[in-house]
Amino acid sequence: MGRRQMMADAYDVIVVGSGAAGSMAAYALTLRGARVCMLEAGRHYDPVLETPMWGMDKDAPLRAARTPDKPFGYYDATVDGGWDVPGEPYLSQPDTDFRWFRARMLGGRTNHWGRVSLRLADHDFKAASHDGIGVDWPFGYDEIAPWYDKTEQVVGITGTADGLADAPDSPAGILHEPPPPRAHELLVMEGGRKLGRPVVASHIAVITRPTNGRPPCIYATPCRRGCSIAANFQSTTVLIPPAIASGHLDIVTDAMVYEVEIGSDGKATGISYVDKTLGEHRTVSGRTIVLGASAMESVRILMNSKNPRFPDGIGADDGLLGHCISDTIGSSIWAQFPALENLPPFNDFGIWYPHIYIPWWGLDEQRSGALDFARGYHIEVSGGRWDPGAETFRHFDSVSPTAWGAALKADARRYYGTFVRFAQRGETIPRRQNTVSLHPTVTDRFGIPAPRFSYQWSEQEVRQTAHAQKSMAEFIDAAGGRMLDDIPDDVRDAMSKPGEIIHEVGGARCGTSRNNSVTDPYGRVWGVPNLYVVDGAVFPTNAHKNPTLTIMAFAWRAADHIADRAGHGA
Amino acid sequence: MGHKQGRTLTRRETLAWLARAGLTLPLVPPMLSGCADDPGQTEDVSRPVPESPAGYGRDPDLLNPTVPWPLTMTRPQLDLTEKLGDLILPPDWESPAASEIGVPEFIDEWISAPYPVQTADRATILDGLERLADAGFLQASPADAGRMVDAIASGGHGGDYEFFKRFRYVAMTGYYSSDVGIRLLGFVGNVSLARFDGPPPEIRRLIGLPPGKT
Repeated sequence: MGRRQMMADAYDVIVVGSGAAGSMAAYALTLRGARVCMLEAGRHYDPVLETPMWGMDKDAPLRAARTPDKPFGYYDATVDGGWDVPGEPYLSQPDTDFRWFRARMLGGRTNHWGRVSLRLADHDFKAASHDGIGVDWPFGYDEIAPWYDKTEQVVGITGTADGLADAPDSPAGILHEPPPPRAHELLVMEGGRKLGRPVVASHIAVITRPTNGRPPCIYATPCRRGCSIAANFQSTTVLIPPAIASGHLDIVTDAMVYEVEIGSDGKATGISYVDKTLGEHRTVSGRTIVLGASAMESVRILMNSKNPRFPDGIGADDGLLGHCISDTIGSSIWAQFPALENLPPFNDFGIWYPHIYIPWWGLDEQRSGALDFARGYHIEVSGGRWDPGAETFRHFDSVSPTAWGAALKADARRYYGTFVRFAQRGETIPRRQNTVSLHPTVTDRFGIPAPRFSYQWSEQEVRQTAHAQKSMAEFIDAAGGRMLDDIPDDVRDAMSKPGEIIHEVGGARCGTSRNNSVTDPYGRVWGVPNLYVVDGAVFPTNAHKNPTLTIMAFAWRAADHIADRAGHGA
Repeated sequence: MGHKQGRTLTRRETLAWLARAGLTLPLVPPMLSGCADDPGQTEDVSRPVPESPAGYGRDPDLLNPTVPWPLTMTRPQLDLTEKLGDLILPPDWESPAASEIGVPEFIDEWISAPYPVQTADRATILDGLERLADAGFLQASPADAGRMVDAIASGGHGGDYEFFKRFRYVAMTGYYSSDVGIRLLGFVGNVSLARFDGPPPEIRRLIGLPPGKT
């Protein structure tokens, strides 16, 4: 973008990262008058100019099929990213296979994310107190609820108040009216009624009423491409523009951060980065440093910040830095619904994302000891009549294995739009032996040590997945579908690889003391009073509720803590 | 085209394509090599970064999509693709044959692409086409050609079901993502709406639900 810092010695706050965490911190701080410099490793990105809102699959290479270059298809918003970024390697310890998804662009992964936005419940913050596993968060729901409220109001999220034990309701007037269920979603709701299990409106970061100058959803174009009219949430359309308009934000893109600088007094003094366009090393100074580079990247920066005071990296004194990382566990079953066959044309598009989800219903069972696993999951259901492309016939062979000619054309019409995917999204247990560390010799193309992951699922995740597979099969049957995938004999074969769900968190967890955590309850690294981590790295647990909403609420709360201490206006 | 002659030609073409694409052997892409999953590993295993010198890269122009890799099918391969494609997706009273809306060219684009799925499909599809050629598919009468398609679809003809399945998938993707296919399948979404009402009453009735609100 070329917005170079004009006041290099005068920044109140340096923010690393422009995704959910970094942008929320920059937004909240600039609106309170702090002068902020935001560093982003990727290129400048403008959704208004770059989003292929109306591009058709037929006009894209391979009809927009998924490739290693574009893992979510040609039109996906991700720039210079994916699970494997050229020149930026990572490694896995023996017997582990961790996948690390990145997006090197202004706004980071908020440009393409799944936009499911569920609040953690009080018991999620206090899970260890309920079942004795792991640690609690250093605060409960009531403490962070005001920031959930503020975040939801700025982001704009659909949903209803359902009074569920596992999912807190938002205060009246905050959530946007959800779109009505699609045809297959109505069948799933019928299935839920038969089973006595809830199926409710999903909470999605798409607006359905005008909000802060943003027009509501037009029920067209796939959200994962980004939204040039800002009807969904991306930091590049919702948080960064008002921060720029405040006059208090400088943005430096193509800035690959590698180190937090520490002064002789033990305080952070600035950030060092590689200017990717010039290949030069630069340092920018600020009174407070905020890391929001993404969980694994922020941990990597801390570990790489070695100095006389912190010879093993900042925050590494007590041996917890890089430990207890976790990703959501996922598994799925595809089904086919005969009731949806041969339907006449009708518009099934809606807000593109699923309009419903199946919340966790087993809390009481779990509390009573009736289940053999500790934490819950929800089920995301996706299907519908989408614009035909490379995904349309992925499961066609299961229902029409041999047809050709006129019979094939009849079957294509018969089965189009009848495939529905049920996907478990489950809480996982952060374990000390699941780690990210720096490789001793391998570096990326900037010379920064490559991260090395070690991660294995525990029996908790295996047992939960077995339960989820059985539950999804029950839902499919109750809703009138037929399963296209068998439940595997070894349920491990159905489980996602760590990192694949892209909900990786932990590594610098927050807590009540330096004995049990890397940061304090506001994300401030123990021992460095002006250094904050505000992304998923601080999560002590990884509830099954998708992490982005909580990352943003935490980042805003941390920003308010910074502004309060500095005496900035409210 | 004789069997041996055809096989030699295919390999040469493959090597030429690899050279053009800037790829080096082995042909198996690193992501599929399985080494990262080998439980016997005692060393760090680097997650390989697949290079894609001839792909569209990580930051293509999304508003002006182009296919940067060269198409590689030979004329005989295109002739086989056209004949097989038109049998699998034939013309009828309401729609054209596959070859009339660019499906053979799309299959060429697909099997010429430098990505793992497409590279695997290239081997499967070109080998299958070659076996069809060896069996006299191009010269066969419509009835005989149809019997040959029946054979590969039912898993006969030397176990060619994988070829049938992948060829059919790519052909269907090309055919149904076109304007013709969109009309045939009845996709009517992706138009700007002031409000979204969900499925109309007629659809609710057809899927066995009572009319009205949920």
